[in-house]
Amino acid sequence: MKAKYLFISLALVGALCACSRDEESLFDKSAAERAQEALNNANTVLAAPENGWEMLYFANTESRGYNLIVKFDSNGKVVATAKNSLTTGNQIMSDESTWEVKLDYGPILTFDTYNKELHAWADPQEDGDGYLGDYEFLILHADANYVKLKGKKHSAYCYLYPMEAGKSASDYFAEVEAAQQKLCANGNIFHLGLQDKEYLLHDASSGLFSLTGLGQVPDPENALLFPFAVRKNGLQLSFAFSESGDTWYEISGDRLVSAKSAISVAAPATYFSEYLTLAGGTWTINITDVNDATKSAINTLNQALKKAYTSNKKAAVQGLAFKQNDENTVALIFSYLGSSNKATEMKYLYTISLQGDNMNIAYVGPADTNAEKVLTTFSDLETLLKTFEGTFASATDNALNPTNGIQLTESSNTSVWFKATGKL
Amino acid sequence: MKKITLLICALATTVASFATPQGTPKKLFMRSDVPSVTYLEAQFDKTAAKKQTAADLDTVYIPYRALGTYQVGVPSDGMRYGFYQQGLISPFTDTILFLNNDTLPSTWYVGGQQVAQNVYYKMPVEFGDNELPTMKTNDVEGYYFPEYQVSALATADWKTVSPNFYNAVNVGSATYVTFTKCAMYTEDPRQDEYGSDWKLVGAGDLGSYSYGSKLTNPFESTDGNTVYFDTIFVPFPQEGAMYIDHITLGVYNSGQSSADFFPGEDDHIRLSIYQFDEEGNIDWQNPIARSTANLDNFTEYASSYTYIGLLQFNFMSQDPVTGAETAAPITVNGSFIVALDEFNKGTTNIGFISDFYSQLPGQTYYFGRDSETGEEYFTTLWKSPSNIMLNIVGLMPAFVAPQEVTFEANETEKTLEIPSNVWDEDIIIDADDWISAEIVTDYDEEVYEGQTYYTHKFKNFVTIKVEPTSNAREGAISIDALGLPVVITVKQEAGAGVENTVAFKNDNKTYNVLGQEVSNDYKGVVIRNGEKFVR
Repeated sequence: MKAKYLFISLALVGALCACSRDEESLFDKSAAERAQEALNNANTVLAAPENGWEMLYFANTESRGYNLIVKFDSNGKVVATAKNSLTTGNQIMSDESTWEVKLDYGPILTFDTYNKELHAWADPQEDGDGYLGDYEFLILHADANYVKLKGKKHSAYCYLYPMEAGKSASDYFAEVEAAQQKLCANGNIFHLGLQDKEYLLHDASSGLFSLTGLGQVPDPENALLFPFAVRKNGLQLSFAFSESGDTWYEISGDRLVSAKSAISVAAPATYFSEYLTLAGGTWTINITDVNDATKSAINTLNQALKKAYTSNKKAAVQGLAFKQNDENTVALIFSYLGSSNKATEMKYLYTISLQGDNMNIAYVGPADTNAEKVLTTFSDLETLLKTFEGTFASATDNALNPTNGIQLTESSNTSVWFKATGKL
Repeated sequence: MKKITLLICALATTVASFATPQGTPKKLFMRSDVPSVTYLEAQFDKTAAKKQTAADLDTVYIPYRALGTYQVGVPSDGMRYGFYQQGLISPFTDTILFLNNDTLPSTWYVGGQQVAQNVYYKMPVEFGDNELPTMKTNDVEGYYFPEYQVSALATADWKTVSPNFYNAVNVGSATYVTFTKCAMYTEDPRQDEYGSDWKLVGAGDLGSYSYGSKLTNPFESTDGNTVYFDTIFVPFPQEGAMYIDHITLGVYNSGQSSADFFPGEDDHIRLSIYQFDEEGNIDWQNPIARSTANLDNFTEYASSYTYIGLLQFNFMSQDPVTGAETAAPITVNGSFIVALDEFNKGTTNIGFISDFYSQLPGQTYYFGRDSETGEEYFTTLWKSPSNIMLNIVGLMPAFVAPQEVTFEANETEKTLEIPSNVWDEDIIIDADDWISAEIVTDYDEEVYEGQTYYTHKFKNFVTIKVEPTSNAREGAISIDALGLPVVITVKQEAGAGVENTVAFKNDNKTYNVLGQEVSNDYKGVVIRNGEKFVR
């Protein structure tokens, strides 16, 4: 019995010795020393960039990202600059306060005096919640190229990148807005290739991607949401699409790429259709820059409208736009000024079907009796409506966001074309 | 289940609050009676950038369509909070200070800067149990810039204040609307049509909900019978005019889905607008606008609340050329009454909530019929429903033009600067052949602390051109500004616009270029027998 206890005791001693040796092999400094080093490193890194940091601020895990500029100095002062609709009314505004990196269960960046541009996200406001943001962050990573933070209370990841030297706040926010227009405007829809599967990313305008499997019907109430912020050269997700995925997607030609996956948009013809059916968007035809046949039909119709509505000198065609009507048809919304200066809208139905890289647009007829009455009165309208019939090839110069401009050209007659822009 | 329970609790709370009789207003409400006006003016005096004067209060022109639209939302509190205003309140806020009549605070931004917080405005005691209007701000430095736009008002903040119909009315009441023609009825005003013997019921005799089956409605009349509403009259006392795009009605039923609102194929609710004439009378046979709504016009509040939502009443206009009917706004000038009738008599209830915070200043009149006894009821004790929302796209007077414009000699063009709230694209101008008139909308900008702001000085510039004439004449420009006609008389003096081609008689007399007879020793350009020469 004694021998058995002795054996167990020796075994324990041996095990403890083994643990002790392992620890020494992992860290050559004590925990306190390492924590102090991390703190010193964070202090040095944060105060280093001459022009401060571009901060991609995510208030919480369900909120879009916002762009801020934070400039730390080594004396404990920080200037935060923001421009957004929620806290600054889309004006560039700055505030100065103090910052500190302190030790808790790791280095914590705290903005320890009130800063309007930072604490606005954490103020409880009238509803007791506010924007559910943080002003204290765990520093998960800090080097000269990038800093990753995690909100202490609401756990959202935020990212800091050094600002370009000499770049002004107005230039920075102008670049961000340009990138937002380029990538996200008008409810752009992306495709995400991830682990051999393809997904749709909706609602780019909202700053919160809704992820849906390709071919599935989007379900807003149960959508998986991925908050992101826009930088001039790409998208920063707060957290990755997949467990081992990346959070940074950089613009590369007609795609946004990370190390492990890519985001792109569908081919133009498919995109045209997807934008109608999935995003519920509208394609507005540019009626001043259009093929000769359509232009001629519009001019003829304008003359008829002016003749019919003599009391209104402004009587004329106002616009043409495609919008999904029901499961099978797309409506061309024809708007015009007639008896009043408020535009009257009538719907005329078409079917749109994809044929490879092309799409076939076929005229069906008026959507209701009102549209029929207008068509009967202005027979020239039918000529105009039929100029949109045909098999069209699609092309865009806006490879990452075709809503900013797409052109459809009739496959058998390239002189028939029209340009459209998307809008939700 | 939890949501339903919560909703019922909320409704029950609201109903309990109805038990207190509100009584009849002691007097008609005039703007000059409102202490708040003085108070507000005092607040304006704080303005550092630009002092607001009392005169400015009376010359506010809110561009129509500036009031935004109302949408279903805010799921936490059913119907009362079922609607909020989304988007801009007004790009030209001026004296439209207190769009929030609720007790919840709001945050205001001007040019991105928070300028006020906890601003709220309660209605006078005459119109409920609220206090006299008060305003609180956090503008400790005394800055408040009512003349600048509030376009930066965050939607999120706006939602929290649960604005509803009354926000729009407050815009009006804070500017020019006075309550002067609010008629009081003690019986069905349509006696001629119905000839009914209405019974006036006391507080508590009727619940808060309108009609339907006694099986499901917990808010039935106290004798256990359901009271079917025949007609609800909601007065909208005002001066000036409103341009109303459409009207929405928040509705609720005790069933499980939107289909329970209108179980019958032809079921609907009818809405009519009756206008007071100058003597304060109403022609009940001729509403100025009428619309019906059924399930096709229903927008459910949320997929899980299909028994709560909005009914939209559109006003249709027939195009004179094509005959097509399209929804078109209507102009209501002066006080008016909205009447709701032709309710479905189906098996479920339709609720119309009124509450203490969001009621209209006038009394609403309910005419109903007991489901069992057939007895007819009349009550004014409920407040006006907060869930009737006029989707006002404009408040008028819209176009304050001079009655007369005179062109003097040699004048061929004049530009009038006209305060207005009507965008140029919505104004139709017609003029005599020798007159041409064009209109352009513009607004001032002001720079404050380096930022440029649009101001409330919203104006139309009417450029009038006349052809030269040798004879004095008179003509007119007709302006249709959102249905309100404006006529400007144009007078042109003899010789106006005529320079070198003034026609004169061959009478051997000598005239100057203005057509005035001159003596023989007159020096300068003269015209004699149609020939022009220099002396």
